[in-house]
Parts: sequence; C-alpha cells; structure tokens
Amino acid sequence: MSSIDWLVLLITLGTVLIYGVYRSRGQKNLESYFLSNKSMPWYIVLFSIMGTQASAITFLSAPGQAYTDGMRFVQYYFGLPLAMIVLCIFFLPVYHKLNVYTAYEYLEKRFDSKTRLLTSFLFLLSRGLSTGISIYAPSLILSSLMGWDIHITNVVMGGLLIIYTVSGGASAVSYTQTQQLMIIFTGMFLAGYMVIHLLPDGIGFSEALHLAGKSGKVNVITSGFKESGEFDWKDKYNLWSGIIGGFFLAVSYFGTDQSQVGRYLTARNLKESRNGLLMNGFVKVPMQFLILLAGVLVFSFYTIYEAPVSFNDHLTEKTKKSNLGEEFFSAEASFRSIKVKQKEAALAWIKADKDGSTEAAAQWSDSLKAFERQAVQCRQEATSIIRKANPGADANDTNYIFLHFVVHNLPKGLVGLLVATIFLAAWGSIAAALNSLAGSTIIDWHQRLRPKDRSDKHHLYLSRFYTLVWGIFCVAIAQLAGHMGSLIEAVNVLGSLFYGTILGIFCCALFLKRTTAKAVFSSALISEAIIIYLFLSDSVSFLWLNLIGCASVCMLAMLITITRAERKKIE
Amino acid sequence: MKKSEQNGAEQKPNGHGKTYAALLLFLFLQILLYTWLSNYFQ
Repeated sequence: MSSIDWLVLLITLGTVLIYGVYRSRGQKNLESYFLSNKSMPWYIVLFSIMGTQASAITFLSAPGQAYTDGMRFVQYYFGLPLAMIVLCIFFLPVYHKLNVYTAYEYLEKRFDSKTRLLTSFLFLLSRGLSTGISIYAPSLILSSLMGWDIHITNVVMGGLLIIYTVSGGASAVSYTQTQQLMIIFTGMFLAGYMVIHLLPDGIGFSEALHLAGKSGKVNVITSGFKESGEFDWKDKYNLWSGIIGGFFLAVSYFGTDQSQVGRYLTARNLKESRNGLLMNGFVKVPMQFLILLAGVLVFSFYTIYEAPVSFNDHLTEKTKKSNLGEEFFSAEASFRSIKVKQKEAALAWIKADKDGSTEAAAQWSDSLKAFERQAVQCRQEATSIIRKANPGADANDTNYIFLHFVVHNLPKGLVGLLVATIFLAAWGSIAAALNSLAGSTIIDWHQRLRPKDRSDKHHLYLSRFYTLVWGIFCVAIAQLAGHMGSLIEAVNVLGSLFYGTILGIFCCALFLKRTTAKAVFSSALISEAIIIYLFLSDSVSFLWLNLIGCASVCMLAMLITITRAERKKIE
Repeated sequence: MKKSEQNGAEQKPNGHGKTYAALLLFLFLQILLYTWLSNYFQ
C-alpha cells in the first residue's frame, strides 16, 4: 500500500475509534450499558442490525461468490423479509412486554432455568467461536495479500474495537455501526463505479452485464430442480432453499441470537424496534444484490483483462516454489491461453451485438460459454495442485477475488478506504457480538447463579470486565485459528448447527402452550444430536438444518408432553 | 409520551398490516425483476 493509502486507512479507523470512545459517556447501570437506556430511534436500530449481520467476510466473500458461482447467492436472503414480519408479530411484543435484557430470560419465565441456561450456553459457545473466526478469516486474507503479520492484523481486527465496546457498551456499538456502514457503502459504491470506469471504451455497464450473463453469472433465480425434474436437496442456493431454509435461519438469527436481539431491544419502544426490523426487510435483499453485482462486474473486468489462475497470491507463490511447481506452471499456461480466447470471443460478441448481427452474436455467445467452462475446469485443476502443495491451507480463493481486484487495480487512496471498510465491517459485527456475549454472561449466568443484589456500579464494572474477557477470548481464538486447519470451515456453519434447535425451543415457548419444560429440554438435546448426525453425514445442504432442527424440537416436545400426560392419566 | 406507549405494551401486534403487505409485495416484485434479469442477460 502507498503512503496515501496508509493515511486514509489510519484516519478512517482512528475517526471511528475516537467517535466510539466519545459515545461511551454516561453509562450508569446495566440498562444503559446493554440497552442504551432504550433510547434508540428506528434508523439507528436498522443500521445496528445491518452492521451486526454484515461481517468483513460478507464484503469479501459475496463479490467472490458472484465471480465463481454467479448471483444466485442472493436467494439465500429471500426468507429474511418474511422472517422480519413473523418477528414483528410474535417475538417483539413478548420481549418488550417482559422487559428482558436477553432473549433467554423469556425461556425461564416460560419454562425453567435449565432450558434458559442450555439455550444461553448454545449461544455463547457458537457465538464465541464464530466471532474468533470472523476476526481470523479477514485477517488471513489481508495479511496474505498485503504481506502483513497475521498476529498483528488479528489484534487490529479484533482488539482495537474492544476499547470503545468495553467502555461504551450497546450505545457506542450502535452509533459506531451507523458511521461504519456509511463508510462501507461509500467504499463499495466507489469500487463498483471504478470497475465500470476501468473497462475499455465501448464496454459499459450493460455490455459488462451481458458478458457476465453469457458466462452464466447473472443466474439470480434458480429453481433447484435437476434436469431429470427431481429436486436437488444438496443444492445450496435456489429459490426454495432461500425462501424456506433462509426464512428459518433468519427467524432463528434475528429472533433468538442475542447479538441481534440486543440490538433492537435498545429501541425507544416496540414501534421503533418494529420499524428498524421491517426496514431491514426492505433493504437487505437489494443491498446484497448490489454487492453481488459488484462481483459480477469484477468477473467482466477479468474477462477483458488478464486474470490470475488463483487469486491467492501467497499460496500461488508457495506452490510455484514447491515440487509441484512445474505442474502448476503448466495449468497456469493453459489458463492464460483460454483467457486470451475468452477475451477475443467477448470483444467479438460485443461487436456482433452492436452491428445487429444476431447469428454471429449467438455463435460468439456459445464460444463464451464454452471458454468459461474450460476456464473453470482449469482453475479447479490449479486449486487442486495448490491444495496438494500446501496441505492444511485453504486453497479456495473465493474470498480473495474482490480484494485482489482492489489492491491491484484501484487508484491510491481508494485502496486504503476499501481496506478500512474491511476492518470496519469486522468491527461492527464483532463489537455487537462482544456486547451480547457479555450481556448473556452477566444476565443469564452471573446474576442467575449469584443473585445477591449489588450496586449498579458493581454490575457495570462486571459488565465491562466480561466484555474485555470475551474480547480477549475471541482474539485468542483468532490467533489459534491458524492451527485449526479444516475446522475453520466447520465453525463457519456452526450457527446453522444450533439455530434450528434454539428456534425450536422458542417456537415451543411461543406457539405450543401445552409443552412442558422437561419435554422441551429433552427434545432439544435429541434434536441437536440429529442435526449433528445429518451434518456429519452430509445428507442435506446446511440451510435445511434450521428447518429440520426447529421442526424436530417442536414435534418431539409435543410427543413427549402428550405421552407423559397420557401416562399420568393411566396412573 | 405515556409510559404504556414507551414500552409498547398497548400497541397492537398487527398494527403494521399495510407495511407487512408492502414488504411482501416488494419481495415478490424483486423476485419477478430478478427472474427477468436472469433471462434477459443469459
């Protein structure tokens, strides 16, 4: 990075940090620390919800996903608006009426302390580990592209935000998230504009989209059915898995994950909470669509300009120096020759299209599709060589594509801003996670197990202490993540392993009035075992696990409740 | 503002009916638009 980029990066991060500390004033008790005195207007709630959900990897991974797999990833979010409506009707009124700090408090009121503690434990376990990984994943990408030390990057990524999160609590988290999102949107918009700007004369936005479309990247809607007419249950992203599976995932995440519940509980009243969530339902899908669009434009850019066979420069260099170097060079040469032909076909298609020659355009369009298939195959071969040469390392370069484009093609200053957006996106979601982890620890565990009342000052001190401890824990997980190898991938889907069960417990509490505490507790344990078995046996795509987990808890709990009631009658 | 309004206890759970309908319609229109885009740019 140039000195201008460093300056932009430091000024941007410094400003957010100072603003966060400035917003940390006035914390007197647990309500002000975890609920911001319930004073937030709906738009701050909206930005806070969005900032919590969008981690650094969202902005790195989504454009890369569009580059490799097309835009169909957007369907993953189709269930979200439906989930927002369900939450507004059923979940929010209960949380506001009971005036809870954490979602799990409600479970003790409805069932018993055992169910509350089990659910809170599942949350702390999955959120604590996944926050560590959400520090490590972007740090790894930045450090390998920039040549930075991974441990220092981890500390900047996950450590600096601890300063304002510890001192300011939920209020500082929400206000900084608003500021962070503004900077992120500016950075992403400028990056999208620059892709179009850097394309040669005669190729504009429409041509770029057509080029990507010819290579199958504008596949926004997919049915999920195979050519034989059979539904593909292992297909990750299609209209049905997005609407149904995505709905259950979004209800679980926004309705039962304290990192989100803690955000909208800071709202002034029920109406402001609802407005924040509903607006999230309006803006989330278009926002994700635009991020994916940026990835598709990057694809068109690399159709015209030279693209590397792998975007992970660090592993590419290591592979070239290894004993598989010759093999890799050969794969790289084949890839280059395919890309040259692909570029010729792209330019020829644009010319034919402009001349109105439909026959030639159709011919070049077929060539483009064929060259893309060959390029994908060649990239897969290169990835497999990289994997063999670097055992244990993640050879998949999807997360590197967007940043590779930024670092190698954008002007000075803008690179610094885009790198800053990666840090800020990470800070937003990590800060909310730390605040919720500390909240659940003190409210669900500490106060529950040591109920002797103490002063507000003492509770505030403990809250800050737990935030700091969780911050250190998450950074420590990030520092150790390099030794975890393929576990990282497993931890990434960790949320889906637990969300279904947690949602099932909440559904029993809200909708199945007859279910008893004992029945729900046992069915939650059994369902969790079923989910882990299904995940390990790779029977279905992970999005369906949310639905299966939820349905399993509800059905088992009803069955156990009815069986016990019948047995009692007989006795 | 009344205390009951502050904690939202007296607000109807379904008081946002029009917004819910608008959100569903918006999602439906987006799916239509994306389907058209997928076909147009293929």
